[in-house]
Amino acid sequence: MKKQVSDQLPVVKKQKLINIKEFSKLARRVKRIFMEEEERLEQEQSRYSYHQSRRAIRLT
Amino acid sequence: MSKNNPDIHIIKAEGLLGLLKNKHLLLDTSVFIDAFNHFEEFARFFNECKRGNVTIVTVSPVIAEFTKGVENTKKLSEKLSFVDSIIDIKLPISPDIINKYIPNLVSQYKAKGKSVSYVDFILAGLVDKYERDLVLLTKNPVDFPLSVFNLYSYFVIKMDRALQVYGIYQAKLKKQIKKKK
Repeated sequence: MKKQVSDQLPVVKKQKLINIKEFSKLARRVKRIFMEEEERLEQEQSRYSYHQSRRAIRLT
Repeated sequence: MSKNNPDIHIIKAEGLLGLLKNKHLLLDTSVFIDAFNHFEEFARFFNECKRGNVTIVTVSPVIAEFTKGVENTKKLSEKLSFVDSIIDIKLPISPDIINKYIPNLVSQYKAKGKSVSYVDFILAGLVDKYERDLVLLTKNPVDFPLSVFNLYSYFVIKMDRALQVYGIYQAKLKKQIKKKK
Protein backbone atom coordinates (compact mmCIF):
# COMPACT_ATOMS: atom_id res chain seq x y z
CA MET A 1 0.00 0.00 0.00
CA LYS A 2 2.66 2.51 1.06
CA LYS A 3 5.71 3.48 -0.93
CA GLN A 4 8.40 6.06 -0.33
CA VAL A 5 9.15 8.96 -2.66
CA SER A 6 12.59 10.47 -2.84
CA ASP A 7 11.96 13.10 -0.16
CA GLN A 8 10.56 10.47 2.21
CA LEU A 9 6.97 11.76 2.17
CA PRO A 10 4.86 8.58 2.33
CA VAL A 11 2.20 8.29 -0.34
CA VAL A 12 -0.81 5.99 -0.75
CA LYS A 13 -1.85 4.45 -4.06
CA LYS A 14 -5.55 4.95 -3.37
CA GLN A 15 -7.15 7.22 -0.77
CA LYS A 16 -9.90 5.66 1.35
CA LEU A 17 -13.24 7.42 0.96
CA ILE A 18 -15.27 8.29 4.04
CA ASN A 19 -18.51 6.36 4.49
CA ILE A 20 -20.74 9.32 5.34
CA LYS A 21 -23.39 7.25 7.14
CA GLU A 22 -20.84 5.58 9.45
CA PHE A 23 -18.91 8.82 9.83
CA SER A 24 -22.05 10.67 10.94
CA LYS A 25 -22.72 8.13 13.68
CA LEU A 26 -19.11 8.29 14.89
CA ALA A 27 -19.08 12.11 14.74
CA ARG A 28 -22.20 12.32 16.91
CA ARG A 29 -20.61 10.03 19.51
CA VAL A 30 -17.35 12.04 19.49
CA LYS A 31 -19.31 15.28 19.82
CA ARG A 32 -21.07 13.87 22.90
CA ILE A 33 -17.69 12.87 24.40
CA PHE A 34 -16.37 16.41 23.86
CA MET A 35 -19.47 17.94 25.43
CA GLU A 36 -19.10 15.69 28.48
CA GLU A 37 -15.45 16.69 28.77
CA GLU A 38 -16.31 20.38 28.53
CA GLU A 39 -18.97 19.96 31.21
CA ARG A 40 -16.55 18.13 33.51
CA LEU A 41 -13.92 20.81 32.98
CA GLU A 42 -16.40 23.56 33.79
CA GLN A 43 -17.47 21.77 36.98
CA GLU A 44 -13.84 21.34 38.04
CA GLN A 45 -13.12 25.00 37.34
CA SER A 46 -16.14 26.21 39.29
CA ARG A 47 -15.19 23.90 42.20
CA TYR A 48 -11.65 25.29 42.06
CA SER A 49 -12.83 28.91 42.01
CA TYR A 50 -15.19 28.17 44.93
CA HIS A 51 -12.25 26.83 46.96
CA GLN A 52 -10.13 29.81 45.92
CA SER A 53 -12.81 32.27 47.04
CA ARG A 54 -13.26 30.39 50.37
CA ARG A 55 -9.52 30.55 50.86
CA ALA A 56 -9.49 34.28 50.08
CA ILE A 57 -12.28 34.86 52.65
CA ARG A 58 -10.31 32.94 55.30
CA LEU A 59 -7.17 34.98 54.58
CA THR A 60 -8.90 38.37 54.88
CA MET B 1 -25.28 21.26 1.40
CA SER B 2 -26.28 19.44 4.58
CA LYS B 3 -29.57 17.51 4.67
CA ASN B 4 -29.82 18.06 8.41
CA ASN B 5 -28.93 21.70 8.38
CA PRO B 6 -29.46 23.44 5.05
CA ASP B 7 -27.98 26.67 6.42
CA ILE B 8 -24.47 25.21 6.64
CA HIS B 9 -22.24 24.65 3.68
CA ILE B 10 -18.65 25.00 2.53
CA ILE B 11 -17.80 27.69 -0.01
CA LYS B 12 -14.55 26.77 -1.73
CA ALA B 13 -12.14 29.27 -3.26
CA GLU B 14 -12.01 29.08 -7.05
CA GLY B 15 -9.82 26.24 -8.24
CA LEU B 16 -9.26 24.88 -4.73
CA LEU B 17 -9.57 21.20 -5.61
CA GLY B 18 -7.36 21.63 -8.68
CA LEU B 19 -4.67 23.27 -6.56
CA LEU B 20 -4.79 20.43 -4.05
CA LYS B 21 -4.59 17.65 -6.67
CA ASN B 22 -1.84 15.11 -5.89
CA LYS B 23 -0.84 16.96 -2.72
CA HIS B 24 -0.84 15.89 0.90
CA LEU B 25 -3.26 17.91 3.03
CA LEU B 26 -2.07 18.16 6.63
CA LEU B 27 -4.86 18.67 9.19
CA ASP B 28 -4.46 20.51 12.46
CA THR B 29 -6.52 19.95 15.61
CA SER B 30 -9.14 22.63 14.82
CA VAL B 31 -10.14 20.70 11.69
CA PHE B 32 -10.93 17.52 13.64
CA ILE B 33 -13.02 19.50 16.14
CA ASP B 34 -15.02 21.20 13.40
CA ALA B 35 -15.29 17.92 11.48
CA PHE B 36 -17.48 16.42 14.21
CA ASN B 37 -19.50 19.62 14.54
CA HIS B 38 -20.14 19.83 10.77
CA PHE B 39 -19.57 16.20 9.84
CA GLU B 40 -21.58 16.05 6.61
CA GLU B 41 -19.92 19.07 5.06
CA PHE B 42 -16.44 17.97 6.07
CA ALA B 43 -16.96 14.35 5.01
CA ARG B 44 -18.07 15.52 1.55
CA PHE B 45 -15.16 17.94 1.28
CA PHE B 46 -12.64 15.27 2.30
CA ASN B 47 -14.14 12.81 -0.18
CA GLU B 48 -13.92 15.38 -2.97
CA CYS B 49 -10.25 15.84 -2.06
CA LYS B 50 -9.60 12.10 -1.95
CA ARG B 51 -11.20 11.62 -5.39
CA GLY B 52 -8.74 14.25 -6.64
CA ASN B 53 -5.84 12.16 -5.33
CA VAL B 54 -5.32 14.38 -2.28
CA THR B 55 -3.85 12.42 0.62
CA ILE B 56 -5.28 13.49 3.96
CA VAL B 57 -2.67 13.32 6.70
CA THR B 58 -1.95 14.38 10.25
CA VAL B 59 0.70 13.77 12.92
CA SER B 60 0.71 12.13 16.37
CA PRO B 61 0.95 15.41 18.35
CA VAL B 62 -2.28 16.64 16.69
CA ILE B 63 -3.98 13.34 17.54
CA ALA B 64 -2.77 13.73 21.14
CA GLU B 65 -4.23 17.26 21.27
CA PHE B 66 -7.52 15.98 19.90
CA THR B 67 -7.80 12.99 22.21
CA LYS B 68 -6.45 14.45 25.47
CA GLY B 69 -8.85 14.62 28.39
CA VAL B 70 -10.69 11.39 27.66
CA GLU B 71 -12.08 9.56 30.67
CA ASN B 72 -11.61 5.98 29.54
CA THR B 73 -10.20 3.73 26.83
CA LYS B 74 -13.57 3.27 25.11
CA LYS B 75 -13.94 7.01 24.54
CA LEU B 76 -10.30 7.22 23.52
CA SER B 77 -10.79 4.52 20.91
CA GLU B 78 -13.88 6.33 19.55
CA LYS B 79 -11.90 9.54 19.12
CA LEU B 80 -9.06 7.59 17.48
CA SER B 81 -11.51 5.83 15.13
CA PHE B 82 -12.88 9.24 14.16
CA VAL B 83 -9.37 10.46 13.24
CA ASP B 84 -8.61 7.20 11.40
CA SER B 85 -11.80 7.45 9.37
CA ILE B 86 -10.65 10.83 8.00
CA ILE B 87 -6.93 10.45 7.42
CA ASP B 88 -5.18 8.28 4.86
CA ILE B 89 -1.88 8.17 6.73
CA LYS B 90 -0.19 9.49 9.84
CA LEU B 91 3.03 11.27 8.90
CA PRO B 92 6.20 10.38 10.76
CA ILE B 93 8.14 13.23 12.36
CA SER B 94 11.75 12.74 11.33
CA PRO B 95 14.61 14.02 13.53
CA ASP B 96 15.45 16.75 11.00
CA ILE B 97 12.04 18.38 11.70
CA ILE B 98 13.08 18.82 15.34
CA ASN B 99 16.78 19.49 14.78
CA LYS B 100 16.77 21.54 11.58
CA TYR B 101 13.38 22.80 10.40
CA ILE B 102 11.92 23.95 13.73
CA PRO B 103 15.05 25.90 14.79
CA ASN B 104 15.08 27.51 11.34
CA LEU B 105 11.39 28.48 11.72
CA VAL B 106 11.96 29.84 15.22
CA SER B 107 14.48 32.25 13.73
CA GLN B 108 12.10 33.20 10.90
CA TYR B 109 9.10 33.73 13.20
CA LYS B 110 11.10 36.05 15.48
CA ALA B 111 8.83 37.64 18.13
CA LYS B 112 5.72 36.18 16.46
CA GLY B 113 6.87 32.74 17.62
CA LYS B 114 6.50 33.53 21.32
CA SER B 115 2.92 32.25 21.62
CA VAL B 116 3.12 29.48 19.01
CA SER B 117 2.61 25.97 20.40
CA TYR B 118 5.20 23.27 19.79
CA VAL B 119 2.58 21.23 17.91
CA ASP B 120 2.16 24.15 15.50
CA PHE B 121 5.94 24.36 15.06
CA ILE B 122 5.94 20.66 14.17
CA LEU B 123 3.21 21.25 11.54
CA ALA B 124 5.10 24.28 10.24
CA GLY B 125 8.34 22.25 10.11
CA LEU B 126 6.68 19.54 8.03
CA VAL B 127 5.16 22.09 5.64
CA ASP B 128 8.59 23.70 5.30
CA LYS B 129 10.35 20.38 4.66
CA TYR B 130 7.87 19.11 2.06
CA GLU B 131 7.36 22.54 0.52
CA ARG B 132 6.04 21.33 -2.84
CA ASP B 133 3.94 18.34 -1.81
CA LEU B 134 2.43 19.17 1.58
CA VAL B 135 0.01 21.96 2.50
CA LEU B 136 -1.60 22.70 5.86
CA LEU B 137 -5.32 23.11 6.52
CA THR B 138 -6.00 25.21 9.62
CA LYS B 139 -8.45 27.69 11.09
CA ASN B 140 -5.63 29.29 13.02
CA PRO B 141 -3.96 32.01 10.91
CA VAL B 142 -2.18 33.56 13.91
CA ASP B 143 0.40 30.79 14.21
CA PHE B 144 1.17 30.58 10.48
CA PRO B 145 2.16 34.15 9.54
CA LEU B 146 2.27 35.21 5.91
CA SER B 147 5.83 36.43 6.43
CA VAL B 148 6.77 32.72 6.62
CA PHE B 149 3.99 30.94 4.64
CA ASN B 150 1.95 31.53 1.52
CA LEU B 151 -1.83 31.44 1.73
CA TYR B 152 -2.25 28.77 -0.94
CA SER B 153 -6.06 28.70 -0.92
CA TYR B 154 -9.01 28.78 1.47
CA PHE B 155 -12.61 27.82 2.06
CA VAL B 156 -15.38 29.29 4.14
CA ILE B 157 -17.97 27.46 6.23
CA LYS B 158 -21.16 29.45 5.93
CA MET B 159 -23.55 29.02 8.81
CA ASP B 160 -26.83 30.65 9.74
CA ARG B 161 -25.19 33.42 11.74
CA ALA B 162 -21.47 32.90 11.35
CA LEU B 163 -18.64 32.43 8.87
CA GLN B 164 -15.53 30.41 9.58
CA VAL B 165 -12.52 30.68 7.33
CA TYR B 166 -10.03 27.88 6.80
CA GLY B 167 -6.66 28.69 5.28
CA ILE B 168 -4.53 26.30 3.28
CA TYR B 169 -0.91 27.24 3.81
CA GLN B 170 2.18 26.37 1.84
CA ALA B 171 5.79 27.06 2.73
CA LYS B 172 7.44 29.87 0.82
CA LEU B 173 9.51 27.98 -1.70
CA LYS B 174 13.26 28.12 -1.02
CA LYS B 175 13.84 29.27 -4.61
CA GLN B 176 11.51 32.27 -4.10
CA ILE B 177 13.33 33.21 -0.89
CA LYS B 178 16.75 32.96 -2.58
CA LYS B 179 15.56 35.14 -5.50
CA LYS B 180 14.36 37.86 -3.11
CA LYS B 181 17.75 37.89 -1.35
